[in-house]
Amino acid sequence: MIKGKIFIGFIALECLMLVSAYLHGRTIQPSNQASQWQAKRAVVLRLGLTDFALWTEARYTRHPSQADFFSAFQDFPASPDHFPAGSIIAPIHIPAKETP
Amino acid sequence: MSKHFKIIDYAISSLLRRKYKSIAILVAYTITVAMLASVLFLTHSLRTETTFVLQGVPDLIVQRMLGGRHELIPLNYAETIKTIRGVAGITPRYWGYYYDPLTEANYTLLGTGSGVATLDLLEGRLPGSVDECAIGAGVAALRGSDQSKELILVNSRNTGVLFEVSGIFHTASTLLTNDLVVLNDPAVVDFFGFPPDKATDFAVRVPNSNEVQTVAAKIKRLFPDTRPITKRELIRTYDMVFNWRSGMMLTVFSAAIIALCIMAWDKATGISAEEKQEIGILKAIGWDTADVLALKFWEGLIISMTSFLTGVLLSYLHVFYCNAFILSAVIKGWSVLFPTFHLTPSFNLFHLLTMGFFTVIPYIASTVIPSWKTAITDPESVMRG
Amino acid sequence: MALITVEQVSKIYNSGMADELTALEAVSLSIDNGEVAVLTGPSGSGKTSLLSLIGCMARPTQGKIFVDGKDVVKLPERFLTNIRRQRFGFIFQQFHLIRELSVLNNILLPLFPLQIGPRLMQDKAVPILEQLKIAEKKQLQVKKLSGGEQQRVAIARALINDPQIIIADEPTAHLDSKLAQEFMDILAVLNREGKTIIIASHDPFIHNHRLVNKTISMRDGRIEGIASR
Repeated sequence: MIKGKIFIGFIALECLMLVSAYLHGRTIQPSNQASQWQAKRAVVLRLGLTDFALWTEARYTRHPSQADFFSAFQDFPASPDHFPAGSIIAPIHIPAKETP
Repeated sequence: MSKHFKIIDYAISSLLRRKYKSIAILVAYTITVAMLASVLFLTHSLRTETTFVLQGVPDLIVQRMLGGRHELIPLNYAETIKTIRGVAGITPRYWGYYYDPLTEANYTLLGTGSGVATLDLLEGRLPGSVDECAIGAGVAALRGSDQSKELILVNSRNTGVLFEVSGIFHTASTLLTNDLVVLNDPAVVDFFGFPPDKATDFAVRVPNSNEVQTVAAKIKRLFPDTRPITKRELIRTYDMVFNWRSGMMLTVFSAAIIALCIMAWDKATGISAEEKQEIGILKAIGWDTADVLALKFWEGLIISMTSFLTGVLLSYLHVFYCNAFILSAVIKGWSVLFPTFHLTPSFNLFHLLTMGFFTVIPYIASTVIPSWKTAITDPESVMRG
Repeated sequence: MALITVEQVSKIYNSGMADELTALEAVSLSIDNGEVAVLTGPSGSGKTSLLSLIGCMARPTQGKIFVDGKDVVKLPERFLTNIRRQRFGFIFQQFHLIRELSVLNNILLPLFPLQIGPRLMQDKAVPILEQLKIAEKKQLQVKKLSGGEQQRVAIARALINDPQIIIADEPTAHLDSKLAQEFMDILAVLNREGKTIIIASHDPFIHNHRLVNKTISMRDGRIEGIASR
């Protein structure tokens, strides 16, 4: 019987953790919305930002929503590149200046 | 109740008897669930936050196109656009890109519009004069401007310009401001050498969201060389990017799911002679078919439930407490100046239930159903050694 | 009235197929309450088939089997399970214990699907463990026991439901003569307690044992003769 009880206890514990994680997420969200998210939205509003500073390397990745209709890696005008900075991992060496 | 307790007990003993096999299944199963859940959690969290934050973007951006490319827009277009019904205001935006060969990073130079202001996420204030700037935390760290309170950039006439740092954005806002160098409008115009009668684009304010499409269409009709971009399109861009990326991940992991299914199938259909004999023994000593099936049900449930819950909890820790270090590269990509993420722990209950349904139920079925045939046959086979 | 009556029973395996095998043909016999009956005959003579039919582990192709006056041939599966559980205790040739489980759990296994609390289960097991002298080994895994001890665990498992009838298939095949003697001593005690015992064996030691009061010789799926003493 002891093994069964350990199993039931373990499952119950995991369920409890999951439920508390869910509730934690639910309670933290409104408070975050009230402070941090609201503050971020204020920055967006004040500066008139349109995009995230996620991929800053090229104009079609820095501002995917503002990109030209015809830019590199854009499949067709209505489709922004899905994989901005698509290399996933940084290149090993970026040549900074031409060496003489 | 007592009966099922005992059967669970026996099911655990049976699983422990095939210790290495059970552990292997448990681990593979847990990892698969953890990866799937991580993708769902990460995407959900990113999208919830970005959708909320992006609600602040301009209702309408009007760009000018020339030869299919983005061009500076003449300021006199604004006079006409202002008269369109439904437009509450129009602001010219001045911005551009700056490659800093020193740090090998791209910055975005942005005009603030007019007026000195403070923001919650800004340490200091926005620039009040042409020789002041507010910069993102990434730029500040890269250039050491947080110490020196100065930033030198080379303008379009190849002259170094010194800006005094009037404010640095909080790290909490790096997702938005990491690479920004915020100047006031005349400073941007002068720095890039924009013609005096042109701006980069217009931000148009349309208070009634139902009218945005109509206004955009009117602008397009009045100025065929412009490209209006609505707020909905802006927000959808990011939805698409994250969806597409998580979709890619899910596609990759679908191979793992299929592998898991094959394993479960193989394990289940190839019910071993040993297991067959065990079922025979149990039936011979007085277990009912239903009892044997209950045993198999519990065996399946123990493995799948434990793996599912453990996998989900692991992915929760991975995504929200370890910042999704395994997946983030794939979902977020890479950049020289990369913002740090602070994901808000939250997940979609529906996603979770769906995932639970599609992982737990098939596994249990693949454990119970093949045993069925053995369980309903007469136990006499055990008499024959 | 006889406890078990077998009337004109036949058993055909893989009927209608190329490998059709007639294991039993028109077998009739009866066993009274409290008897010790032995089925003898060379291997392949149908002893085991007959035992499994009597023990409600399989159904005959033809004929009738009565246990305590009730025809069990047409009973639905779950009633058969009930009869098996309540009336019969089985001792298999290979013992068929779950080797990795403890002695106690092996013995309690038939009780697992029943609505019996752990305390009551222990109460049932303790006297049997003591009677068979394996009480001090009850926590050991079965695979760590000797052959004789394993057989005693098998006997204990057969007794846990306090069955009326004990069925043993070649019980002494894996035992030396000393252990075989011990086994028969245990059966003698059980028989004295009123249990009916049916053994399939070709071990002359069992045939000639004073305990046996009915010998049923079989050959090629038929009964050659029944001798009572």
